[in-house]
Amino acid sequence: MKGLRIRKHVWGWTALFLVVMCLPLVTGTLWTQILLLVGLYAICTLGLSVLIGYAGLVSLAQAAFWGIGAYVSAFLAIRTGMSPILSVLISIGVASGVAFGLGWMTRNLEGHYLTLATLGAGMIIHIIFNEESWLTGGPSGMYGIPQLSVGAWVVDSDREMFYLVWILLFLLLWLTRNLVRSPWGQILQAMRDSQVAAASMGVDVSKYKVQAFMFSGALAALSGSLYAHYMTFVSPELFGFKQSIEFLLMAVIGGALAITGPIWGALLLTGLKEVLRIVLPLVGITSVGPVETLAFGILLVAAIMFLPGGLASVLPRRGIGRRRWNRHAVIDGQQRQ
Amino acid sequence: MPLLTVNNVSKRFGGIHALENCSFDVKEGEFLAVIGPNGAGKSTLFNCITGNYLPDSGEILFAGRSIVGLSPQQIAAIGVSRTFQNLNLFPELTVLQNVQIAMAPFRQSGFWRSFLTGGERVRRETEQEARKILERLGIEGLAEAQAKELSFGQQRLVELARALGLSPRILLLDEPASGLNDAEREALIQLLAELNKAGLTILMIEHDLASVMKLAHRVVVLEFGKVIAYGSPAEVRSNPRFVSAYLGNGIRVEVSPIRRTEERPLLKVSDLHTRRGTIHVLRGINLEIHRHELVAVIGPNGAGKSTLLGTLAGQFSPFQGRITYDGQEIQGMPPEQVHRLRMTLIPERRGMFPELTVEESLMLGAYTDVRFLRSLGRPPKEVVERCEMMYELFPRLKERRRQLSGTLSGGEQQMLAVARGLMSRPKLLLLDEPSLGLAEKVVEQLFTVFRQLANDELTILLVEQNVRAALQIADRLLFLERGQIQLETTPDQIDEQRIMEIYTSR
Repeated sequence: MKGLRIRKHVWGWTALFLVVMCLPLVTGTLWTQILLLVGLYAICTLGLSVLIGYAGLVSLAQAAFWGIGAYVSAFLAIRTGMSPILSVLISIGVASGVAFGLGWMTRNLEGHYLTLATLGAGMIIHIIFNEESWLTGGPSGMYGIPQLSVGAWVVDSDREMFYLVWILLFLLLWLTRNLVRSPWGQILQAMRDSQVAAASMGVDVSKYKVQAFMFSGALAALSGSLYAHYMTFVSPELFGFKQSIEFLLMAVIGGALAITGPIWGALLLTGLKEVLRIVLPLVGITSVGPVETLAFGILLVAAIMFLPGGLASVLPRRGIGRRRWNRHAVIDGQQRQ
Repeated sequence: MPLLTVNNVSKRFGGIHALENCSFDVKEGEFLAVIGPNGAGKSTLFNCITGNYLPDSGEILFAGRSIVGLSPQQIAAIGVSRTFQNLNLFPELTVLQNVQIAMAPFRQSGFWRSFLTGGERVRRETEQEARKILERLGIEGLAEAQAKELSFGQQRLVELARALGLSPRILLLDEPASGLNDAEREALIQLLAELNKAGLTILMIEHDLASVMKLAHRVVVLEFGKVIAYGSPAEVRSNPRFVSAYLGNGIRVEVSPIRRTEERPLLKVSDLHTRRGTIHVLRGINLEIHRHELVAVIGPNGAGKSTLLGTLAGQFSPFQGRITYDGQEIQGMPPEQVHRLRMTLIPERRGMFPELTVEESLMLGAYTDVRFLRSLGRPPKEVVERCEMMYELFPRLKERRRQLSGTLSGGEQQMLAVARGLMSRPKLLLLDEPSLGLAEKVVEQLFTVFRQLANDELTILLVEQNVRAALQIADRLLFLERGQIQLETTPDQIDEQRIMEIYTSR
């Protein structure tokens, strides 16, 4: 019985993996690029999903951590000529450090208060991107970021980058799946359900909170730094409040307790954006931004009302979607006493 | 050397002494019970021991070491385990996972091992041990169920199992039997006795005196945050201060009841059942209240007294049974509609609007009698007149009419709560523990007013823990226990000794 179940979910994962690996072969360049971005967004959202779904901490600073990854790696690669691989790793370290600071300072906050604190932190970091020109290039951003390279291999085609990102994503999905089912993940859920009870059972609540923030920040930085080396250009408006909201939407719409949720969330949002970008000019609407915001808003409300488990909850249960969900944890991050 | 020593511990919240110079100790292997009326500070005491509250002064020693100032997780880690008065499980996790969380190796398996391997080995090791604990409590069959799917009684056991998962040296139980039915309660008592016999030290808060007398080696009685009696069950039982902690202090009410015989009942309740969450609180209540009668409902904590009043007032919807009030069936009606039928509930702990003045609060009480447009200008004449009537009834309120109600003393707040309720000119007044936390003199004043009101043809249903005070003014007494009316009597047919017997033996 148990063996059968394991085999079933391995099949599910393998099938999904193979389908994804074949995509660049059948789609054009545009869609390879879009799907590559989906993969990058999904890596960033994965961290946020664990934070929201398992730890019950709703963060609005994810885009800021994404930006820290992008800026730190870009800065190091441009100014010191460091190998991008190394600069990516360092940027992950820096983002984890900042996440440690944020987690430690907010360790006694709960629910909406915590969310507001992360909103403030995200804004402060965004201001630094914008104002500290000597470090970040100011509003005009940073140009000429070297492409990713490993030894002599330079990742310079969309297809190569696609494979790099998605293989990395699948690896991280697998490890995160380990993580949320491990004692660490269970303790995180316990804290989400009742912090008082968890502490009374000897759980060091602040330690786990800080670790969850660091995990989320590290994945954001990984995604952000890859993004910077792929685009070879970054500017502050990419990492603002709006982007944080988009990551939140991806996590919630995909399903924050489902391991594959980030993929579906990122896919839906990115796809919708592209569709709007193509369709709106055809019907005579030139400003895409406001319509986008409106559509995302409607999507969020609809997801919360009709699909509280996220998109992943309507997929066939081959072990790749999990139906479990805690509405409260995601809507308001409040722990229920 | 005692395992746990509590020495002169005090804790204040605002101006209220929740604990005042509490001292007692628990020896290794002992079963100690903490009892006392509502608001005596029992849960505060637990929270001070487990580090959830920091005591203002005093000393708490565990195994010879001071634990004041340690965090809850540190105190838990050295072997102090607890359960909660209101269940506090991890509802989304399975029973097995709930127990595993408490186990040290599980908690100490770090982030990286979990990330890379999924912590498979730790999980398997702790699973065995956790299953053993579940087996000991007879709930091994529920291991894979999610905690939120279980019945209340099962959840209580899971909480006990989780507390045992910590491998505690002392177990703190906060009303472990409340909300359980008779069979579950018997089983739990049996289980606790076995655990204690196997060497586990237990400190237990419990309202059910019968269980306490059976289980405990020694008993600590708390009242208003002070230890008023301390010793073996037999000693404590014969201590007059213990009796008055449970039955309240005697008061003198000068107004004598006027008995009327009017046979038409104002309120008739038949076979009423109410659930709150997963707990089946009211289990078939039948009662009749006649016009102009003052009926007191007494009974231990958790018997369902407040739920009964809440169900009558429409706050909880019963799932079975009928409530007939003034010739109309009202079960399931929303509270604002019940209120308009002139039934008014004065809730436990008074429900003040702290930012409104006394007079504003009073006027709000007449809310349903004033049309919206008339409420915009100066207060209508009849409302002002009614306020004056209230000031006559409670002269203290008149002195304080411009004061914010949040700044009143407890007794004044209770007077205001009653007066505010009377502003809507009810036919039936429901009072939920009006004497809670009040000094004798104030209780006397309040209860005198209640009796006057009943003499002036108001019908009153009074829920009270202060039995002695209730005996003074009630026409009839209903003894509520475990969701049923167990005894119906009049004050002259029953004495204190008999009531104490009912409380302590069953």
